[in-house]
Amino acid sequence: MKNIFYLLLGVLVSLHTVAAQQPTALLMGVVTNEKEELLVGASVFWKDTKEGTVTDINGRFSLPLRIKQATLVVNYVGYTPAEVEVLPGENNLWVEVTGIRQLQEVTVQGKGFDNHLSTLETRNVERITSNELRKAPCCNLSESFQTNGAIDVTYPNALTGVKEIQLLGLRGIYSQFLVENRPTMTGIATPFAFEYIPGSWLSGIVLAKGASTVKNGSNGITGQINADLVKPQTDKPLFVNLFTSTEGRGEVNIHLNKKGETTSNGLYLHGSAVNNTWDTNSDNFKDSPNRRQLNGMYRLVYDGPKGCAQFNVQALTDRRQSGQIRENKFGQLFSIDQHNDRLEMWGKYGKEELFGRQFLELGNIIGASWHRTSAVFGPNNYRAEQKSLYWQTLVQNIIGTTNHTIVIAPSIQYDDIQEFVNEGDLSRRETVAGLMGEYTYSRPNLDMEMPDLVVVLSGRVDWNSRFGWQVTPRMSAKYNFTPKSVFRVSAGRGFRSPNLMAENISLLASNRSFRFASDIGVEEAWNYGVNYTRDFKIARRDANFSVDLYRTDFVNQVLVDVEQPPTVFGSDSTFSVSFYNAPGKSFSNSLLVYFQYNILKGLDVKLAFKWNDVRAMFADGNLKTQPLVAKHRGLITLDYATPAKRWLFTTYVQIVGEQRLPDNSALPHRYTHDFPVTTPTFGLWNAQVTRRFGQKWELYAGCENITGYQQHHAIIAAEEPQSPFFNGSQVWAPMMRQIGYLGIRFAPAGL
Amino acid sequence: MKYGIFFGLFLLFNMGAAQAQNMPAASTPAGLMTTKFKVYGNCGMCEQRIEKAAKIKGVKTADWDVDTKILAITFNGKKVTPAKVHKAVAAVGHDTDMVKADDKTYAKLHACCQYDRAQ
Repeated sequence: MKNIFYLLLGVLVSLHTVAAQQPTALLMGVVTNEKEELLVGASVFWKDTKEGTVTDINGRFSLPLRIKQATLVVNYVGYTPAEVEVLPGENNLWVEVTGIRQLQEVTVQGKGFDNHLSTLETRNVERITSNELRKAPCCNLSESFQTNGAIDVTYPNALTGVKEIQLLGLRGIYSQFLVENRPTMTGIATPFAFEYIPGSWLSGIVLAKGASTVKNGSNGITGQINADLVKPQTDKPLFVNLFTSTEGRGEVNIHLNKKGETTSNGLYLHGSAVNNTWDTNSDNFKDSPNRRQLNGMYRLVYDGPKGCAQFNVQALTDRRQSGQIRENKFGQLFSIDQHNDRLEMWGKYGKEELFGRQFLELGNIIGASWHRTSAVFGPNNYRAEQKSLYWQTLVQNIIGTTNHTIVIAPSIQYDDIQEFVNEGDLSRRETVAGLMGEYTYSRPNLDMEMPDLVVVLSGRVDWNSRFGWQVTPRMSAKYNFTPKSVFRVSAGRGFRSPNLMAENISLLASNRSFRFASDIGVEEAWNYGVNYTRDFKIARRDANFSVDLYRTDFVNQVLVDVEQPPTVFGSDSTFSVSFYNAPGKSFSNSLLVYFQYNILKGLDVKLAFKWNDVRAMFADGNLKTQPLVAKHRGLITLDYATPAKRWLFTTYVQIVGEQRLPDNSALPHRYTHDFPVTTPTFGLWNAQVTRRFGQKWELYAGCENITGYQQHHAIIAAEEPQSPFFNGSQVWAPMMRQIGYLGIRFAPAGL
Repeated sequence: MKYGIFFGLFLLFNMGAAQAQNMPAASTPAGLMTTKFKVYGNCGMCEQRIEKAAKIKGVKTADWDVDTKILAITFNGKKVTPAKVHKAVAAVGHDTDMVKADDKTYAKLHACCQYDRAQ
């Protein structure tokens, strides 16, 4: 710990010297095209020399000034090179390049895949575009990962309907969830966080794998999921989406936007309901909860000479009811009823060119939220209320030239959580105050017209009111062999404060006793990873290949152990759920191979294969594979769009390999014959057709689980909800057979 | 250890300050930028017309060179962007490398100003 700290210190001190050695006279400027869009990666150099640089992600550059008049050459792929005579005294240039040099066809072919693995980004980042999101019903964020090879969505708990995601074979709680670079839906909001972002609100998702930036906290151990929302200045003035499915789901989304010269505002409304009495396996338990959700967001955005500011409010109310459909013979009804209400406000303020310094930027984020949950799970009740505050100020500047940039950001996160399970009080308060620093070195390569080597060193120091000091160093680097092939490495530490009950709320739908170890600490892990990504052509058609290998090593993981032998007292036995710090090793290894190919004009194929090895030493002293994590997974996707994009066909097959179920050997055999030690490998097939009518209308219809693969019995001892064996958490396949759906999108001003 | 961290924070801030001192002292006032582009024209009369037209709100200086046909402007990047200057110049009858002037306006230019038009 100390050594790392000194290492960081050393880096910072050496930066100091780098800064001091830079010559003082600089030529700065921006490069744009004729539409005045800033160009990233344009090469800028003094004519007849190798002295030059490449524009940064904001289209800006800086390089040492010449003493005499000299010619500056600006080059950007697809444009005529521009030559500008720079006179002494001119030090802030605006250079425009014009004229598409290459043929139209090249630009069309370069459209890229909807789910692109970039060879340019420093970090191993996958951008899921709004086009990709339209390929699956995507009623909410958790459903938007269906056509994604990296993130797996687990099947909803048979009783509560809670779904989880997995990244690098580990539960979603080990990744950081951000909405527009702001941490949100933490603590007690965790179980349904992804369902509180309606699909139509999403404009894209950025998925960063492995040790990523620490700008927003130290908790993204396996990666970061950053959801980008629609914005009033770019969204359609009016947008309506209606959706219905055979699951009994109805959904309405309405967007209203008013775009102004500098100030724009938007209102986004979502209402959905699921009403059914499906019980396909006749166990007298509903297959999926009845739900109703009302969710609204208002956004006010200012973008003008005074900077960039926004104010947002989101309010939602959500209710889910499930459980037994009819009373049993004793007149009892096991029912589950969960209420959630949430109010959140957040604002941002950013300014470029602070104090007239072209590269000095300031960003501020302030957020406040209130969340309340009250739930009944048969005999158990759960009540919780959380108030959270978040503040972050971020300052970015260059050191000398744009080849060195630095970000410094202090932040404070405050959570006041009141949480009660039956009579037990789990309330807590947590304040995390921290400071992060991030230094980026980019080495420009004039032949490639982009930086070929980028190294990011970052770290944060936090003081956590519950767990003390936390030092989180991270690094990532990329090296481009060519602009189309890149190798990346990343390494870093992460911390997270466990929210044991909220994160495992489905376990309350049982008669187990809960045991919390008295010394439960903060979770801490190191993550290391490498990636190689390459764009190339096969028979003159675009192809993209990527391979990821990640390892997560827990220094401390809080295990959720459902496999401890029952306590037997006479003829009664009591099962438990134990939470404790892993007594030994705990790790995850994850390999992902990914291949995309544009076979024919309009036809894309995507193949993904994943191998996960996730094990931990449990209290019984055995190094066991974590239950319900598939060791192998595969994804095959085919997309076809007609030339005018009137028709869009998407079909995908997910292959889910063997999963270990929790040990059921202490249960009487009559309950467990449908719950094997390891589950079989199975495939799920989904398909969707989208038809566009003119510019205004779009109709889509599809079917999930076409082959109707189903887990017949998902609840152990479903007939006896009061028995100690009753358990609905061992779901390894869908419980619903085919689900058909139909939806329309309408925007009078064009989709 | 605690002191170490405070020392680290101190260094970080200190670095920020040192950094600020190393920034070049801009000889043009903050926010003032220069851009150059080609404007078609012939004579001194054209020069006057072009320079006058280019000085829209936010543009501080405009200088057109008869020989190179290059118009250099200094402007406040927060108030105006080059595209507006292109339009303003084209509006008085002079083609630029991005915006072409209206044929009627061009036809009305003085005889000596009837330059060879941009392709």
